[in-house]
Amino acid sequence: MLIGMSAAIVQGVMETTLDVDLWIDLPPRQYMRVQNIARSVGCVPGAKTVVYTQDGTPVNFVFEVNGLRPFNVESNHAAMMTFRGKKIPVLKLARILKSKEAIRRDKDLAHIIQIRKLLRCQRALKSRTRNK
Amino acid sequence: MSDGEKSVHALGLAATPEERWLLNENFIRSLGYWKPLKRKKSATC
Repeated sequence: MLIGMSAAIVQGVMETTLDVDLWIDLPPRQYMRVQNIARSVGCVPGAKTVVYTQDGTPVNFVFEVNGLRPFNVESNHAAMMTFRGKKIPVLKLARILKSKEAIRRDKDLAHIIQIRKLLRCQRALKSRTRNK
Repeated sequence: MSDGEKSVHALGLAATPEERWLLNENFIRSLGYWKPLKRKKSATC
């Protein structure tokens, strides 16, 4: 499932990110299974949980996410979206916000502001459409 | 929210997920990040 800022960007947050975060429904000790799959499709390993695709995109495999419920619960808050030509589950903005509010690194603080603003815009648009 | 900010968010909302990601990817690549991996040279060449 696509999470983090890459997930926020595909939902309309005008920000940038330096990697793609994929939440994998496996225990962290099984990271080699994911690495092997990534290698089989031409990715190059960068670290235990990081690979680079052939076009140089860094992909980060995440096995545990702070501030969120287990994968099987959070996957109910995902929407299928097209990402790099493939339909994949993308964690919804409100849940990304919740995770970032729990982590609160310096970069998260800026992201939190942008996500909140977009959510506000989405709500305003919805209520305007409903009132028409 | 200022009108300028609103127009930025409107741009984000109007685009498709693919277009949104391409905006990010093109920007990151324009800064010199995410360079395609070099192909390994064959040992026999």
